[in-house]
Amino acid sequence: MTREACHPAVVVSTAGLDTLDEYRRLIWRRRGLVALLLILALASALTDFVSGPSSLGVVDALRGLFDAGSLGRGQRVILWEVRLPIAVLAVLVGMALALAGVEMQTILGNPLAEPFTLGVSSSAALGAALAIVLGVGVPGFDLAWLVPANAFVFALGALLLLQLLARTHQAGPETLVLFGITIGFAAGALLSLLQFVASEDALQQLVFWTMGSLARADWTNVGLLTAVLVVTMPFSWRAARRLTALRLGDDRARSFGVNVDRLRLWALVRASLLAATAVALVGTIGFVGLVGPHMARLLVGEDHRFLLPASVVCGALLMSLASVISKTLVPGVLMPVGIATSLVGLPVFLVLITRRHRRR
Amino acid sequence: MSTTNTTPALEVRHLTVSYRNRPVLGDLSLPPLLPGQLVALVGPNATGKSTLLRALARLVPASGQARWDGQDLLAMPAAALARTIGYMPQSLPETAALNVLEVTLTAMQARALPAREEELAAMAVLERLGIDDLAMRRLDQLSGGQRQVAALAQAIARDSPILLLDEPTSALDLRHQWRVMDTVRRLADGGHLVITVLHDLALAAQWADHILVIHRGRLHACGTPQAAITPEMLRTVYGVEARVQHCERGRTMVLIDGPAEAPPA
Repeated sequence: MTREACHPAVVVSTAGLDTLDEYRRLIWRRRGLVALLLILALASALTDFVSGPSSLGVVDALRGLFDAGSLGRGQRVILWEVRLPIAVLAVLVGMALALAGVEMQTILGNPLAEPFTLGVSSSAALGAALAIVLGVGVPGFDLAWLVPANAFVFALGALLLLQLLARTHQAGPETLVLFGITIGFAAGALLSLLQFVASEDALQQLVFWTMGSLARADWTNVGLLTAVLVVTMPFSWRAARRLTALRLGDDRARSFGVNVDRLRLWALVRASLLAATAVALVGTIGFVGLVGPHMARLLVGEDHRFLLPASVVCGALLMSLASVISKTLVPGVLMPVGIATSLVGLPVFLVLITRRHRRR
Repeated sequence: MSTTNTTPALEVRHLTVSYRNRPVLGDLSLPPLLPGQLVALVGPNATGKSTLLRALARLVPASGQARWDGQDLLAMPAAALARTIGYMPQSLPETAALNVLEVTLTAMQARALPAREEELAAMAVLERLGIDDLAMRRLDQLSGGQRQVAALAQAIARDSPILLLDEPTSALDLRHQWRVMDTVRRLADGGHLVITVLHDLALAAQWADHILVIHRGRLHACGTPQAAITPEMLRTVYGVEARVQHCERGRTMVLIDGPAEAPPA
């Protein structure tokens, strides 16, 4: 076989160079897939933007996006204060939940880990319930912000408690997941108690919150979640190779020079911040943090340089589709988006499971 | 890399490792181990061979001394340690959706090479081990033996002066065993210090320069294969009656006759 010197210290055969070319093509294919998913997510967001119960048509909506002056005041408000924040917030929530999900799955070595299964969502719901039912909450917040502030504090508190338990018991990833499930059940039980004593009005409000809804979307919410994503994403990207190493086990990652404990701690901090903010703003949303990363993994593998961005765009796509479905499934009714995420996520998840099973 | 055989390189003194207050390695000291040597760690199950490797790779807390060319391995920064020691645990997980080339590249992050150079170096390692045809195959599509060779590629790709291999041949057929041991031998001949756990004494005797017999967390015997592998050692450490025949070209045959009358000491 012909051998070709490619570097002073390395000699690789022509067949080896061909394999490396194949690898480069694989990388470009993955980049293409991420780009395609991004286009689909943007298309879905645009569909989300032009659809809604009001009589505003697609053409008017698109014209109003670029030339707000062409619309009447009422239509402008619908477009810029209702539809656009909802469409953008759906994308951002999807991104945040999927990024939190994929990092949790990697650092805990558990494909079922996500904000929902680790008790974050239940804890946020408990915080919201305390505000809604008993009016108890974080001091200094007015009524409009009391519920999300409480939800955020409880979600973050749940993850800090998880960290504390893990540290004091020197728990491994498996025990950490069990602690998360325990916290989730405890929060769920207390939530049921509050539901039991709640007034009819409060109960209705609480049920609506726990179903997850984009109806409260506004530019402040959009700004808040954008800020959290802008702060956390660069750190996730920087940790990508170390996260890939962690998929091969703690010992291996350590022997590659990765500080596993620090990596795990900061990934959990990022995931906590993302999940707590998203859940606080839109309520309990299941499946996106679980299905988004699984979909991405199936498409681009587990090299986190591609898995992280692919998960983020898959999450955005799923959440945006769920938002469209929540508006269009029952004409004239804005269904809670949490129901739609399950409707979108469940079949996708089943397909993923059966494909995975078949591959084995 | 230096290939001198005169300067002591790896010095291990009074190394102690405990799990839950139970000593696994007790005050273990080794003779100086040199670049260019292939050292086989042998001994019965659960006597501390893997723990010794893990302690040197700093994967378990240890006290005592482990120095490489005067540098304290137990206190060295993690990145510097990753460049000094290439550690191969027993097997690669099959659940990670990564291909063999990606797995090898992942191991090379401490080298901080430019991307193209890193890819070439990784490919060269796969070719050296004869698994270049598996480069684009995912771990879940490999047999146990293939995964084991891929794990060895990870350890080698780091180009570290010390290689610690935990049973690199345990899941391999004879042909792959030979290929792996031949590669490991060449690495040692090229100036690496290779320390490998082996259960097959014949394989250890055939390929290693030095045998370290670990028994109950202590060094029981050390020396050339002829000096270390003896019926007396097999009786005391393994609890078996055996005959040892040293054949031509350094080959050794160990014929087990049965359990010794007295259990291992």
